[in-house]
Amino acid sequence: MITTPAILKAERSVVDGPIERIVIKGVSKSFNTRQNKGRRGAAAQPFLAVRDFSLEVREGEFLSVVGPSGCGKSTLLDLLAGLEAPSGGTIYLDGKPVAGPNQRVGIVLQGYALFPWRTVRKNIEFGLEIKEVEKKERLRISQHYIELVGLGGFEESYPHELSGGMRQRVAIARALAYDPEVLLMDEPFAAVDAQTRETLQEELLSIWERTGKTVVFITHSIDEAIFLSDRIAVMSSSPGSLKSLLEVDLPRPRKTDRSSVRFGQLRHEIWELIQQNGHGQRQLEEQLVIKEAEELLVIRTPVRA
Amino acid sequence: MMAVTFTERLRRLGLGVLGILLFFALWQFVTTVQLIPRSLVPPPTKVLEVFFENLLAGKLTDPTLFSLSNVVLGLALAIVVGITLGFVVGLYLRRFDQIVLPFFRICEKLNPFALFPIFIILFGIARLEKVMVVFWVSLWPLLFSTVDGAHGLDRVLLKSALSMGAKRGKLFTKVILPLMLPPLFSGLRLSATLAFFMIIASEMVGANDGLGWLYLVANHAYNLPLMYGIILFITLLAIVINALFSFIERRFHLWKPSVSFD
Repeated sequence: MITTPAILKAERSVVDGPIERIVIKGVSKSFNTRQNKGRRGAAAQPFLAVRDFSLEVREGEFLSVVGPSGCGKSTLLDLLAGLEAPSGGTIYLDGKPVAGPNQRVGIVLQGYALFPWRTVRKNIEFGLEIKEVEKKERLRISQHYIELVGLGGFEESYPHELSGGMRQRVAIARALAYDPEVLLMDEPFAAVDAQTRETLQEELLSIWERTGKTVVFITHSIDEAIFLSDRIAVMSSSPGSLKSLLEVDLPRPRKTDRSSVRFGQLRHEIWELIQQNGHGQRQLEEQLVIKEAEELLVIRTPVRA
Repeated sequence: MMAVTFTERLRRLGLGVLGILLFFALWQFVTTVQLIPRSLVPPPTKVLEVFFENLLAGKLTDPTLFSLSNVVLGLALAIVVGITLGFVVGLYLRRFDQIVLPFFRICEKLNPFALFPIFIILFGIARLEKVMVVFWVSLWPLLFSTVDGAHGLDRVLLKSALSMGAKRGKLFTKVILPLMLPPLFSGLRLSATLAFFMIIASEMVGANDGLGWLYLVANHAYNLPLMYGIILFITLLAIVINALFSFIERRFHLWKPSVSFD
């Protein structure tokens, strides 16, 4: 596949630099489409999900990745988490190549992915159990994170007894509990209603500020990306690659900024970038336009009547 | 389901018992007024009288223990083999499951009644053969529920566990096994019901002990009250087995995907 030893060597100084937490260097990922297993006749066509993707994520920054669905955002997250190995290129976390799932990153997935047979506390302690942290210490840590995400009093509840927003908070606490260096989030708020979503966004920012974690946040929503991020990576699809990297120059805290002029400009800018996305992407674009329109409606409509 | 109050449950139980009592009353009435001749259907009072006579004389103890112990032994063997095989096929041999699963499906479809004579030829008519019959019939539900459970494992949950550093051993004990518990348990429940059903049948084909054998003995002696008594007793045992599983299910409050919106 695509190997770039020359580039790697040239970028060595960047890898060793103190500011970058994650360095993604010329990463590609192709899959052999195994979906139609059983049909032995069909030749396995390699599908290029991500092509020559390079990006540096700074220490402590909040970086969002936006792009049309199917642009390889989630694949990128799997690669960062070490759940998938890149077909070409390398990902460095604090200068060390990512070589498999590890506790240096915590992930929060869409749909919560909580263990239904475990209580809130036991869910949060999962990573600590894997790490073989002793019981007393586990209890202390889980209590800290339960309070951090505002779930005090729900320690012994089961996931099915909680609302969507609360479940997502458990998922965040669980990912933070074993103290990873980086928090990876894959459309974590996609399944909750608009109002809960805004609350969760604000809470996430406050957690981020208090913990100082580096966050890579994958989202479908341009507004969400602008509201949360220091920088936004815009991806284009087929195959997924980095289209543009934008600095979000809005001052923090941003509670009231969602309707500001600059916010609108940024939104338009990103929207345009995604719009220019190659040919034959009409369907994906339409999908995004609809999604965008929905979000505009939600924001423009005074919900708090 | 959890929302059912205690009084509501009591009411349902009461109505259920009432139905059964009405049936016995009708039975008593029909046989007392000789709508059905007593030589064909004895009244329930007579059935109970003869049944308890035999029970107190200890004539049912050995056959009952024989039948139940065979169920337990066969089931235990099926649990070990079925679940192990199910895990191997479902988790680790995914490339071969299309070869082995159709074969297992055919094995499952073989009529076990038709197999009794072959089992007798192979294993005799004593305990070994009974255990093998139970093993055979209870193997398939356990095997298939394990395979289905393994195939249906929540990918996102596994991904999440992997990302937190869970590896082979811990992934299995802390994630895969708890996730598999509900399908395993429903398989076990089905197997146990089937096993008890089949042990009685197999004891009526060729045996020298067991409840099915005792039933056949009563039949040959034309001891109608005892025959009816044994039928009632077998039914009662089946209910107890079922209740036992309900109890275990609640005791370990096995989570199920369906309770998520309670």
